[in-house]
Amino acid sequence: MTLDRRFTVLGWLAAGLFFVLLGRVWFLQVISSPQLTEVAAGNRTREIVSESARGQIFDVNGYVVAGRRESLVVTLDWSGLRHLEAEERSDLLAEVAHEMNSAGVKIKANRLEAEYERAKTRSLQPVIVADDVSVELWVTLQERVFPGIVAERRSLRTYPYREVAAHLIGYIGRVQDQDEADELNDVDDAKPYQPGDEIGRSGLEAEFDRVLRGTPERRLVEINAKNEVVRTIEVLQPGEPGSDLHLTIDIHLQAEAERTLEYHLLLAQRRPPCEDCPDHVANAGSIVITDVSDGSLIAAASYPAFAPGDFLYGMTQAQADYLFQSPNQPFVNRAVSGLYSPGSTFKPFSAYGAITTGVRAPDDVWNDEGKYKLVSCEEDPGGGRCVFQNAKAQILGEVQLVDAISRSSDTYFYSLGEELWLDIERFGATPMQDAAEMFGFGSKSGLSLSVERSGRVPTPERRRADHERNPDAFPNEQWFVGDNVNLAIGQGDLLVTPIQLANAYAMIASQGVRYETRLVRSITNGVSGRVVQKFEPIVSNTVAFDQDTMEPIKVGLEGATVTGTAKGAFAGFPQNVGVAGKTGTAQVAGKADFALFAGYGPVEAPRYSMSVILEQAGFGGDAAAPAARKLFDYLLAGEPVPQRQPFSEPDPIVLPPELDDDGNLINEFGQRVDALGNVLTPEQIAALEKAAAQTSTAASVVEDSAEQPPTSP
Amino acid sequence: MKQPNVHTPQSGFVKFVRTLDPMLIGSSLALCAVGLGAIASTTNATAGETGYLFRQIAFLAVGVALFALAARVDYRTIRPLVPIGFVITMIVLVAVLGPLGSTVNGTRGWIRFGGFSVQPAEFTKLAVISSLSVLLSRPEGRRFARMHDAATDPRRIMSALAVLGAVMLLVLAEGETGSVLVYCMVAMAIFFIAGSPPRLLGLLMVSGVCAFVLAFSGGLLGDHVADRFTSFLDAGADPRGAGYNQIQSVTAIGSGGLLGQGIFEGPQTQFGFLPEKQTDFIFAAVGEETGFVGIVIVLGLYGLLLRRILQTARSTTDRFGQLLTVGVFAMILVQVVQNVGMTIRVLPITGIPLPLVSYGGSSLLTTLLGLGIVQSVARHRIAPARAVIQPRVILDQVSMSEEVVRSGELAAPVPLGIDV
Repeated sequence: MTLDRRFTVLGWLAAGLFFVLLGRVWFLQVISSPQLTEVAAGNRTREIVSESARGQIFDVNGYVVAGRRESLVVTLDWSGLRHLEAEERSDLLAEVAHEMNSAGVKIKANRLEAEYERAKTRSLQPVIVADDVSVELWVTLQERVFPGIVAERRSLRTYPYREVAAHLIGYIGRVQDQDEADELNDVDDAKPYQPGDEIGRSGLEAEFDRVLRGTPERRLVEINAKNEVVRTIEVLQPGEPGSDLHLTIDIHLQAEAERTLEYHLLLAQRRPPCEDCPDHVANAGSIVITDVSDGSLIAAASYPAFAPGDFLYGMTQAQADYLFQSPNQPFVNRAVSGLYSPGSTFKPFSAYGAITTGVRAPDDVWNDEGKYKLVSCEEDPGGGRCVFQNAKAQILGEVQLVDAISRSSDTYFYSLGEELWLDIERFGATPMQDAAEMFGFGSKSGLSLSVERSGRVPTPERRRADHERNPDAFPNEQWFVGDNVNLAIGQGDLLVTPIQLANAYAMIASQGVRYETRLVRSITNGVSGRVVQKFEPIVSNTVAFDQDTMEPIKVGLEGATVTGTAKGAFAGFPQNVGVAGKTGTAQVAGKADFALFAGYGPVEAPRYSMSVILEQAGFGGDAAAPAARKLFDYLLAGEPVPQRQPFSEPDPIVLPPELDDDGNLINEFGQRVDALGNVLTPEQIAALEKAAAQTSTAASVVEDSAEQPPTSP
Repeated sequence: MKQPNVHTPQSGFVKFVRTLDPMLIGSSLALCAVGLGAIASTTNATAGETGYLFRQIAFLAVGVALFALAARVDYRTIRPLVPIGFVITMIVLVAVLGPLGSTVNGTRGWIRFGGFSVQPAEFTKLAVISSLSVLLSRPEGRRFARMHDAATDPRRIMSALAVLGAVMLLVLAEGETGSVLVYCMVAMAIFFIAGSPPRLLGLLMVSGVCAFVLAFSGGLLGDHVADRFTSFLDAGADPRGAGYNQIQSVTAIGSGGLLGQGIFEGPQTQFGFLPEKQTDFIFAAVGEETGFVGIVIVLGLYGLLLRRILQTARSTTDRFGQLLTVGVFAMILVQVVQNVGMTIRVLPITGIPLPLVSYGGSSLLTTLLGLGIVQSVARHRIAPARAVIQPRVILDQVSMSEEVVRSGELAAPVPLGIDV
């Protein structure tokens, strides 16, 4: 090849290379330009979804029970850190941790690393790694500009009354990851969840999450390669705070109900159990107060409780273990999902069911001999026992329906149970169960909490069905006379919730009108305060009572607090208002008795209905009735309800008086006192001792059921 | 070309300027201007961050001075100095591997002094070009019959290969894979024009490819090079990792469209999505902001420049000057093709700057110095060292080089500045 040829070759080679380059550039800039322009646009724009403030929850008087506050938080943004080499990132996070620690925020670098790894699987939204940080730290982070680490203002949940009403209000958590968010979101959701968003996990926070949740703000922003926002291009959807909930709960009464519950549980723990009886563990219970006139829930205490705020700001391992692993199940809202044998508190309903069949007239006299031997025992030995006794084997003598209720005669009801069963042709197979269902047992109260349970009203038919469905769990197929006898006194397979019990008594009080339980009065717009939705009282059942039967029952209930089983607890209660109620002592195998009280007041024009259940606390008259009395003092006797200051520590519960060697309550000065700490007069002491003497002589064989003896005549 | 009147009072400077090639200088300076504009845009100079821009202007001033110096000096006078220069270069390259060097972007090819970092590998390119040119040509005044022998003389070829191999090994050791590629191509161009046997070119080609594959397979040079290559083969495999740069660069160019997003207005460039935007990927910034039209202009300027250099080489009758010029031609061509190629994703990423346009003193000074040599060749190629023998030299060369006569170049010489 000549030199000239070689130059020509070199020249054409260069030209060829340039044509290749130009061709490719032509392809990119002219043919692929639209697609690549779009890629570039997606590159530098990002949709930022920021949560709007969550709606607040107010009590009936307008006190904030779940509020919000502004807080300075530190967030970690995965997309701001992803470009860094692993080593660089570790160094950076270590430095951030150092800065945070020197500003008083306890955080370890590997916690930040873990958050980074977690955030990777979430989405592009920043995650909060610390809240309530100081302004100084905020300034430091602003100045030092760590990529992906930002201090910013966020609206956070607060619970001003801490653990008060925790089970009703519930708690919030954060959406775990994209998978959970996808599951939650509908196709065109106005309030789509993002990983890391607040979400109600229990109680009203969960039930009304869509209402409380704010409409997130969606902004299209321009970002640079460091992921810093350069400018907002467009607000795609303006943010809006969530709606507010207005409850029927009176938060101060709720607080007192909870304190009263705890106080009386502590008291019950001190009370010595009967001989050979299990200890009074008394570690759980529930109190429900409803408005008779419209079914509003005024207070619903469940013990033990938890503090919803613990879920927001992290908890210690000990706290977590207690909350999640304690056999006492602090999470369970016993008021609506605790299932209990109602014991004698069920008697008004079994009485109504039985007496209205005509098996026995209300004023028929029954001779209570302290024990009842089944008539049918020879023919039907299947039920096992033949003899059923009164509690402490007390002998009440001749009783009518009124006394049978007020003084709680078990034998009166045993005999009713048997007589009904012996002639089912005439009385029907399930008169007591039908009455129970009429009063709302076995069905939900309509309360807007999905954890509510419906309990169980046992019938021969259901028992058979249960057995056929699962023979192992329900070995009994047949219904025995003993079942009817037990049902008459509220024992056996019957299970009720505290709220059902309160509602059933409210139905007695309201002359046969039963309301759905109302917990939320209204939903209002979070900004304007305009009412979005109003929840009017709903009547779920109206019954015209057979007054010939209902009247004596009511008289019996009224008598119980005056001359009957709750007389001691209600001693000194204003006569002009009066409370109608019934004590109950439910037996549970291997445990101390469950103490119950249910009632309503004032007698003349009932306004409040209440149920009290103290688990493993002894006799209803001893343990539960005083708790009810305390709350009726607030509700009816004009005692001012203590006002808890928001965000304040509750006053410590002053431990009840000590028990002396004889089992009497004494205060710190050695004076005899009642359960509420009031010093007893010499006359009262004499009366109590006389009653105690009577009881001890009467108690011969105690192996079964029911009630506290009446105190002095 | 108007003959300068010796009686006209003219300063030496004006006389010198009048001998310069306007096409060569015009296209070069135009490209430098494009570079300054692109640097201003990519480094946010409008927002007051003028550091890069001013440094580049300073480099440019030094570069222009170097160009003028090189153009002024007769390139033939440096011929005896080439061996010394080569030895010094080798010493510096070895020194860079020692404690003197520092590492930037995975390569250990930098020397820092004062506020500047110098890449000896850039200047080494000129050392290689001049060394090969010396070895493959003979000084003037020797017998013409032996002029071609230099390119086929086995001893000279072996020496040339030894020089090339030593430099390539050292530069490879520093991690400058890109530069190795340039050396290889430059050497091939010089051997080719010098008329070396095709076998030699084949050998060079094979060894170049081997070195390339070896380098990119990662065994020799560490992972960053291998990463770049794998990501080139499959950029989608790790769009946030090594492939990120090329994806962003292609996106930037593509979104430039026909007319571009406007200078200082390209979002890919301005918001930092484009990596290494004032150095290796400056071409993408130009593409985004000035579009296809801008790229055609820039590539057109390179075309003009390269065509001019090639014309100079072609019309140079002195073999040493011819090889020097071809070396500079290849140096610029390879760098432009490689840099643009990686930016538009037809070649893998190497850290090769775009000559005259990319920010960076070492590259700019090297290129301008090389162009200064080309200008010197253009000025002195026909004019002999001693004017007295000028006609004879021309005649000798013409008689020797029948191609020149046949192509008619003597009859219609390329209009270069000729200092007669």
